[in-house]
Amino acid sequence: MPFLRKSRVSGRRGISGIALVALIAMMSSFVPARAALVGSITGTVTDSKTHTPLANVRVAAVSPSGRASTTTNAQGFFSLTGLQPDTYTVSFELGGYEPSSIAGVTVNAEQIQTVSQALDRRLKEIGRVAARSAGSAYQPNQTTDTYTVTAAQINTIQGKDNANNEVTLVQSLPGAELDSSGYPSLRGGRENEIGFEYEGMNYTEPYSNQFANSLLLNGVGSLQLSPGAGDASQGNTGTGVINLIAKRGTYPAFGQVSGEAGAPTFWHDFIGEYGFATPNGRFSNYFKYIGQRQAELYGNNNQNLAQIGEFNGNKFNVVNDFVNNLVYKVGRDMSKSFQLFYQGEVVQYQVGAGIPVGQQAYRTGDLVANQTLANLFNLTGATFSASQVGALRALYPMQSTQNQLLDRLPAYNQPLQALKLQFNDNPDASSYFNLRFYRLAAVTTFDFPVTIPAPAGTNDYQILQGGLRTGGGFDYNKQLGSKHLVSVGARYDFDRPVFSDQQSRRGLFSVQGLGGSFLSGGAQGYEIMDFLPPGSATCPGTSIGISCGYLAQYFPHGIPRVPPSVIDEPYDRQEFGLYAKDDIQFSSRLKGSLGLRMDGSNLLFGNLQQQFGIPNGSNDALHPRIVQPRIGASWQITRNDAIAASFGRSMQDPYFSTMVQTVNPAFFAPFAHIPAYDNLTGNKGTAVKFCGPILNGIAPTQPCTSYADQLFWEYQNNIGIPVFAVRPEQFSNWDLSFSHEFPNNFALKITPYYRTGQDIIVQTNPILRFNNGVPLLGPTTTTNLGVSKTTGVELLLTREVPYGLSGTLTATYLNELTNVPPLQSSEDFTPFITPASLALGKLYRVGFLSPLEGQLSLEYKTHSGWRINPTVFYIRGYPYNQGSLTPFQLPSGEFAIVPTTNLTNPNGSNQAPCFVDPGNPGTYKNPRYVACRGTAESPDPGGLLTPARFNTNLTIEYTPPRSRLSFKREVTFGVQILGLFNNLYGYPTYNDCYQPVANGVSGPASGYGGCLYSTLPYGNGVNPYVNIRGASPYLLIPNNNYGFTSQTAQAPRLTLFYVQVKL
Amino acid sequence: MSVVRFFLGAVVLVAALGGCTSGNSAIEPPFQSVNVSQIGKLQFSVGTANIMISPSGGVFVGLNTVVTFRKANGTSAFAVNTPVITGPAGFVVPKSGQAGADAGTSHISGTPQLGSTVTTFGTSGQATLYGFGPNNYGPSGSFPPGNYALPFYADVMPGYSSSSPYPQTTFYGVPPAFPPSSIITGYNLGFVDFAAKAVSGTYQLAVTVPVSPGSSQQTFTYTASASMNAARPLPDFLTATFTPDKNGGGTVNIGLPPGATEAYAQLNDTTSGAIFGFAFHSSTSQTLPDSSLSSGDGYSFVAVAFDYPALEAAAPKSTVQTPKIVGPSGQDDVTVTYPQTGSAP
Repeated sequence: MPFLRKSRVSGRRGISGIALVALIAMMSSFVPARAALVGSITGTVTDSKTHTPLANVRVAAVSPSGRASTTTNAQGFFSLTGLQPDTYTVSFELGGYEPSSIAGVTVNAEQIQTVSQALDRRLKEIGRVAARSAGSAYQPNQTTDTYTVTAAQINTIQGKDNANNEVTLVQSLPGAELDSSGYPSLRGGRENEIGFEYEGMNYTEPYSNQFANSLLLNGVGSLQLSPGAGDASQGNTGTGVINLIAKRGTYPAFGQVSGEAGAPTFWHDFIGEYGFATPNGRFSNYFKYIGQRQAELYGNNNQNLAQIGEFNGNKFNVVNDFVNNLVYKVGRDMSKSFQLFYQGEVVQYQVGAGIPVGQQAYRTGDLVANQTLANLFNLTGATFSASQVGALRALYPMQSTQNQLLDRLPAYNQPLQALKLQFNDNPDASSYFNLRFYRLAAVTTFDFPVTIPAPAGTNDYQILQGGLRTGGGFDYNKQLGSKHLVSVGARYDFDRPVFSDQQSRRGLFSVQGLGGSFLSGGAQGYEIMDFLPPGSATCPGTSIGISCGYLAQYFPHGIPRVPPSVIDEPYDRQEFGLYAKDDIQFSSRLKGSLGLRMDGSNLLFGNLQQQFGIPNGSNDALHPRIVQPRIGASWQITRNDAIAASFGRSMQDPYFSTMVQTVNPAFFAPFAHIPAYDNLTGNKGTAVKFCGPILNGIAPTQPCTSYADQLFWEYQNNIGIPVFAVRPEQFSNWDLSFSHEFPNNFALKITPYYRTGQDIIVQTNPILRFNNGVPLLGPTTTTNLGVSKTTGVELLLTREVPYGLSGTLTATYLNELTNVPPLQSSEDFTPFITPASLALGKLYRVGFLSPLEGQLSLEYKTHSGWRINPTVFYIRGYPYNQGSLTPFQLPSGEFAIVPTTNLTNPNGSNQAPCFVDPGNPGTYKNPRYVACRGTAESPDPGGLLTPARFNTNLTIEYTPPRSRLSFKREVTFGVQILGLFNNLYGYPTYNDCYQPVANGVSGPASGYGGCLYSTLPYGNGVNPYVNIRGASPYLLIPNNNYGFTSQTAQAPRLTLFYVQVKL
Repeated sequence: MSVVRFFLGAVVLVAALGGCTSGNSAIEPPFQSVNVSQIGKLQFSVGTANIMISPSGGVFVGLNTVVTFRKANGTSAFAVNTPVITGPAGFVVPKSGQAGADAGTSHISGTPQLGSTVTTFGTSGQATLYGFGPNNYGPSGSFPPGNYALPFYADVMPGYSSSSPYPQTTFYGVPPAFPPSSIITGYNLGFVDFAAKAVSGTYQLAVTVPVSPGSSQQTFTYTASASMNAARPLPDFLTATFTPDKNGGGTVNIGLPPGATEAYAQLNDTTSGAIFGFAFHSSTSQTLPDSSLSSGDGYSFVAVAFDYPALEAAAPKSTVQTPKIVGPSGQDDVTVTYPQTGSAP
């Protein structure tokens, strides 16, 4: 089990709201986190009549989040850098001229806004430019493809104020998609190839590169999405970066409390936030708390969860999330500031929804589970009983006896602690500097104290996965002359991954001898016999003559249980990055960005070679240094038309799970003073067993020094993962944008893009060598052999007005080709390439993404306090078919493309579209079918799409005038209906328990076999056989057996009622 | 341009991009089902099975059956079916451990899927494209195993018991007589014999095919019948021997029984698992190439003679839907030798 997938807020849930805040107030509450998140205003001031440049004009830019000022130089040029994204009013003052100002100047991160002004010697009315929101699709100064989503847009997209579902927000943005597992994807990348950031911190946990915050939005003022490489200040961000920017306190203060309840499932939320600042803005603070207690709803009420495959589905979510953002400005002009940002999050997703209440208890002594294991331990001539297995198994953490009930549901516990201290300095108007330190701790506990008999196949395990990131960095911007804004910066992270995987069943297997033979004489271990009582009836009866009970003499008070198998990840990594870039203003309309960054890392494997005899890997994997150019340009063709183009290389450090995992030796300490023992011969002492790693199939030759040594290597060689380090993934990104501003505040942006991926991390069985032309395959290992090519188009249409109709329309078209065969269960997380597919260089269209997704989010707001907000999320359809052709290794060793049958399907015979005739099967290349499922297949897998879907939500709010209320607070009453049309969006897929009879005809055993819960209490009590698959050649999910899914959560209608009070 | 019209246009655009699908509900992918009653053709023939009961001689005359159940292209008609053979008056299934509930009755049957009754063919037995076989697919899609070990009910053959069973043989059509297959061990030779006393008369075969799944599934039944005269079994082989040489090869000598038109001899290397098959259409000898057996390898040799075109109707050569399976006598008789064992010099 290399690593597990974290849970996240489900596709539509987790949406909560608090009071609606006025657009301007919301937009004023942003604070940047790092240089990559600040912008600039530059321009030239001239005399309106003579057009000569004016020197010494005092220029000031003021917004609720701060102010900056400077004076023009002899050429009339000015520059204000280090500005936090906000909407500014820029004023101009010079003796002898009438003061002038321009309102509505929007500054976006990493953009240079050009504001030139001509001053008049006579009285002039205050100037004004068309106010353009930061979220407008028309951003003529952007040199990279970036989308800024304002708080108002977040509200519109999610239906209501301060919704906290990052998944639904991201999926609605151009360049982003919701993958078929319900996780976000940027330009076709996988969830663990995305750079998640909050306040400039890397918000991914280092072990698996997964998000650290359970994809919950808390305290977020805006979101910035950069699909592709972004600018040079962004590093280690894979296929794109999602950067969240926190709110900050303002003067006057703002705050809200909100309560929410839903039906028909239990759904309670309480949310409160408050932001304030001193009148002079020197001190500000913002905090927000989110508390949620939510139950999931599956299908219709009283749905048999096992029958729809939600036996292990999500049952109840608990969220406690707190964010605090404190800023203290120092200096006479408050040009310096300190920021302290903190987030503490405790999220628990309880699963096992289908387990009957009161019967979810786990016990090591569970007879049903242990009988299943006993059957698996069917040594030749030996028969284990369930009670014997129970007495041998390691206890579950916090279990003191084997029959102690652990009366809790399995759960994902996903805590997060993040702390950042940042110093910002604007030494002058044309320069900006920040220095930051942060620490992030995100270790998920996958707590599954349940052993469910087959077919659920869930074994008890407790896995800690995640890690710590401690890092820092700086950024420095300097305006040089009137054309160049030069930036340099660096980052450093120290990653301490955490991974601890404890499974009692796996420990049993290790000492039972399955999974490999490596100790003395090639004999399997069978150490399990040593843990049995002497004279046990099991041992003498074995035909292989194993003597049992060896350990009894060393433990007169009872033989210990078999040690648990605990895999650890004991290695660290240093990450660092350097960048330099020059934002060039060729003119007020033509701008460019030229940048270069280098990201590198050092894997601190220590004495791995000495300790485990495992080669560390190549230098470019242990100490990679990736140089990445970033080039962009924008040209404002006319006042309302602009184009931009950019190219950038980007990279993504490997997830740690590709590194070495070792068995924790501490659990073998009780056996340290016991001689090694060979229970096949009865010999003990040195040279009876040999310990050490197995490399290239070669058995170790070093004598085991003790029984503890013997056990350790038995475990390590069976379940440790001696995988060599791999190189970072690399991507090349090209995009070209056209944007246009229409009348009435409409704006449109269309961005075609092309992205390639190299060194993509995949698993495969590499070809070790050829034997008489027949390739010999090695064990499954992690490699950099993946590639991808993605072509797509992003579309964004926006309109933002205070009242009336606002909204956004987004769409993302994507065509991604990859050498990863699609529709494996791990395609979008830990992909695997079959050796045949790899050898043939086969490319496929990805199976986890829809070719087209989009969202229409409308908001109609009246002066009388009504707000109507429908949203429609559209998915064209996900690929689902296996394809009629597949790469396959023939018995001759030859790799060939052959028809996909139950004999050749890489995803298993039970997923085959066709079944060969046992009486005359033909050949692999020309099979003769006896039955097919009945659907015309495309040649490649993924050629058929699931039906399109439109997920529609509707929010209606009313905020009465304060005069109508007895207390003078702004109160909003709202109702949100999720799944307005109550559609159950089942996705068709293959019934893997289909019994073929003839084309399209199912046998009566369809849905049986491995698709039944055969034993109480997991059956329905009357008929213990609960069919979880149905009988058709195809079935609809939600009906799979792998936990909660987005499509499940998207199913039924849910009505939420809320009241928001603005403080 | 009106704001409302602009967004309405956007809505229309989204709908158009979606192909105006009806995706607002759960829709299974379109798939076509064949008409179960029309895609298969069933042929059935019976005869005597002259089974040697010892190396030195002695025979038991049992029942031989031949069936073809094919689609138009010659493949098996169905991946799952349940056959039942009903004998004429006087036919009795012996009380064999293999017979289960069939023992003492006049029918040799299979068990419908999900059933638990123990029968001769069980839930796995089916009428295949040629012969009966344990070839019913299960719900996991894994490839079902090959052919039956013959004869059925060997535990009640004269002189044998559960502690001293008759050495059953699983016949495979294998090289050099048949082309090799990289998927299966060998092809079905089409005959299935039973150590049930042959009785003259008409035998009925009913093959039930499930049409819809579930415990209350609908079915369709194909039927066929065949008659035989049990009083004229094929005689014994004149000769049926394998003589190994010192080079890992040997000689297969076959003297066809009178009335037989062809024969098949099978040599199993019981050490390596290799199987060799030899087809005969006259009394002659054939050579096992050198190095086929390793010195010291054990082997088992058995031969079966037919009075009907058994080998011509076998896959993979025969791909017609209704091959000729009845011999000139109007029935299908076989003679099977007692397995000859030895070891390669």
